[in-house]
Amino acid sequence: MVDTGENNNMKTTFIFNLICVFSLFCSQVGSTNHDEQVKEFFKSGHTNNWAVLVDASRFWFNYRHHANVLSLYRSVKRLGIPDSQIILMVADDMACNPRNPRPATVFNNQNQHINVYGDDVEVDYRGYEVTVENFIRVLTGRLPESTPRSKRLLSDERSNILVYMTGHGGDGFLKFQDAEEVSNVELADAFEQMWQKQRYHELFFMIDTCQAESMFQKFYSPNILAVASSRVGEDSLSHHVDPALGVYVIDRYTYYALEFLENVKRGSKKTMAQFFKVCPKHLCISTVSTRTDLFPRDVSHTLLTDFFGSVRNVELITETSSLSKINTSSSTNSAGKEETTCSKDSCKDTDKKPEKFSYPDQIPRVLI
Amino acid sequence: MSTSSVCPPLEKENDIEPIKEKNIQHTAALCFGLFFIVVGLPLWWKTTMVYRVSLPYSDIQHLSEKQIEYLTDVNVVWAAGEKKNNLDLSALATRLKKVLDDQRGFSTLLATYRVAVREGAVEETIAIQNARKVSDLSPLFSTSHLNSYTMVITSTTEVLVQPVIAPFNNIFLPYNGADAPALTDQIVQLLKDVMRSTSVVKMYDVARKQTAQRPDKDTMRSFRYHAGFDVTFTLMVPEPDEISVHWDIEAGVKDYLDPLFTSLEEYTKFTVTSQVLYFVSLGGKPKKGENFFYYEERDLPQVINPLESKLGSHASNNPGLNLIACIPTKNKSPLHIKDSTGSLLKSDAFLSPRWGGVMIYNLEKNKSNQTLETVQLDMHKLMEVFAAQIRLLLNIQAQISTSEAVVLTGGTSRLHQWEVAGWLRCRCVENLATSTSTLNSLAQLLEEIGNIVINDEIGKEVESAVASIKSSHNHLAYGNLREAFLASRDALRASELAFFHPSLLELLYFPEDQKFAIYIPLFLPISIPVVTSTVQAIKWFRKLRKAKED
Repeated sequence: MVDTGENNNMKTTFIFNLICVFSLFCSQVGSTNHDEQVKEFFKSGHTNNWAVLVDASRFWFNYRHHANVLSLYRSVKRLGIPDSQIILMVADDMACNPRNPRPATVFNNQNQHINVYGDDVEVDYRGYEVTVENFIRVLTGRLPESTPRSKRLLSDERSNILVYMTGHGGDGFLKFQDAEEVSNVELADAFEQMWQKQRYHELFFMIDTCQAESMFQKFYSPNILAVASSRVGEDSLSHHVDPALGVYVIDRYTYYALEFLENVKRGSKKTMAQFFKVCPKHLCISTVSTRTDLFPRDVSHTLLTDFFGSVRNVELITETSSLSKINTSSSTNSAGKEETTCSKDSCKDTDKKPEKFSYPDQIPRVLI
Repeated sequence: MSTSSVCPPLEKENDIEPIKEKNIQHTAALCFGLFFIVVGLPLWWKTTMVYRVSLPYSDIQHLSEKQIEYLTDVNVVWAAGEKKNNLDLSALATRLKKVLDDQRGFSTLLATYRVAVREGAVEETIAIQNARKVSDLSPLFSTSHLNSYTMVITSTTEVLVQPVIAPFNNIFLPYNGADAPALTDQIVQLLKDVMRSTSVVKMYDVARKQTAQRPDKDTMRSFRYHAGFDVTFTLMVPEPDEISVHWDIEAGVKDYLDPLFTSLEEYTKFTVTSQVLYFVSLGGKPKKGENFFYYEERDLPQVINPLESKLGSHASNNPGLNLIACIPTKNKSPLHIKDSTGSLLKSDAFLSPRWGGVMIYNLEKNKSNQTLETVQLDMHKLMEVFAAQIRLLLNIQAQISTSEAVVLTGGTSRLHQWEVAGWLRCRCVENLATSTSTLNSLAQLLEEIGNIVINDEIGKEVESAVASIKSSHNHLAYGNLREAFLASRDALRASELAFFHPSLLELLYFPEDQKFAIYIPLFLPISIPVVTSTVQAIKWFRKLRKAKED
């Protein structure tokens, strides 16, 4: 209020200043209070994000499942989860399928709105590597020693994990390729083993398949949030056919989920509760079902980016170690001393014009 | 009865051959049946049985309930001369012991103390009086035992005006005339800081999965113990066509960070690599200040996201520490970081828990109008920040709560003995809790899921983990910190290997209904004729016997 009094004589800008000062005052008060509360804590309880995305079905007519999983892949990558922390399992390669009239693309829409295949897709498990055994091995961490880092889920007790699955399912199972299936009991046991070994902090399970709800009914481990595209007894439906492809392009639930996720930016404040409402019954036709009883937080206060993005906690460095300066090995080339301390040889080096970096020529000079 | 007794003799003449033949047939059927029961059934049972080496379940159960006890030696040396107005040293000893013991609480983590108080020798007192530097005094009271601390109570001299924590587990506490209770409190407080008791408890609780809903910075920031770490130094040069930046990272690491790495080389392995990335800059849009640009604290998470694809090893499975020095672009420099109060951060650096640290390195303004500038980075400036970040990320940095206490630094990144001891204590307890809970989880899993195979190798690992945990417990209780840590490391390795062994999953995917699907087509076509013919045979022989009896 003292500040506003001072500004009073500048009549033309009085109101503007008043607003500015007041808002500044408010924000400062707000931030100091907030700081006192969170000083000892980071903003979120996790330090890293992982995603396990699975497309379990094969063959051209399952194009839509491929589009589903790539939609999610595109979103989590755009929102900041690096490829090294995404395990992508895709049972078939639609982009390179000879039946694909637009090679090296996978679209979510017949109007070719979004090319979900994008520019760089790093598939970790592909084709016949996508098996129930490999999937469970990735989750539980029981992989052969020779497995490379990119195929491992190296999460810890501070990791938030997104598990997305799509394919053909039934009551209590999801079919992998045409040979086998993962049952809901097995999946629940795998999550329990992850919890026992402190392999996740929070886990978000998302599944788009028929009778999808049955897959999360058997979960019993804590800190799991789950959403499924349909109830038990319901089919999940596909969105539309692309006449050029001759098959369905994408499933309804994932189509609307992607539509929602496309509008989410890094640092967005959208919540999981909003995400649960992306596909109401009149759009999805199936009923989207969620499970929140294992999840201790309120979903309307849980940020979407806790699972779909990678918003890292940061801490500012206020104190640095005091090290005494050593000039033994770096005296000849330490900063600022080049002119004075260089010997004959090294002086020659500095006289030499430093190598200049430049962009390479687009067309080789020889040709011109 | 009468018919049967009459009939055979009637048929006897012409039926003697078929009866004999039938006899042979039924004997054969019976033999088949017997063969199936005596050999086939046990063979089937044996070959389809889930192989399990017997594990020491009771030991595992016992270990998870067992208290971890660690012993610490506290030596108090009274070297403050004749100042003890009503202070009695033996009373101080008993009081100190009592206060330390009272602070145990009801945790399964128990700190025990052996307290000894002695009068300082004359030469020691003289040395303290004449000391020019505290570091001169340190060797006089140093001990090589990691778990033993010497608390020297001195008179206030020129160099000793406040408590000083010296490298070799010794603490100098200038006596300010306080009475026994106040002095005891002072000693206890300092001792807890140096021993890192609170940190030990925190690590223990986290490893036992007893985490609070809002975990604090201490427990989240640092990596859990791992047998190896990959340290990667990255220099980001966004405009190599404008500024040619060089860094002598090899010499920098050798000069400034090797002391730190060598102090821990016995306990964990550091693999150091470096890279220079050209045409890569930080993400996000820095805001414009007066004559500088800045990031706010809330912008920083987005800043590091675009870098991540270019970091990290694809070869090893060790956790990676990413230490990044970033040169701002010319049109965005100087670039700084504003903290939440709005003031500029001196270090221009931040860290992300369990990931690494970033430092913005602002180059000095170019004086000459040369088109291509050549800049050599100052390793000292960089390494001061990187050393601080590594210390925080590895949980070496102790939080000293006694505000006036001074930590004696040697000017190198070499860890002090008390820092190593504190680190080992935290890590040892953490490893013990982790490996115990891993074994416990494994035992529980085996109970729940019947299909898990336990082969000899896993059995051996579990046995060795249990043995290592036991020996670590013993060493801790006797105060052999180093040995206890090494044993806990072995226990961690063995228990992880047992839990994550790939063979555990080999039979997991085998539901009961699928067993029938396999057995029925395999056994039904064989078992129906065998069973029916056996039954027939038994009936036949019974009939035959009855006939004979009659």
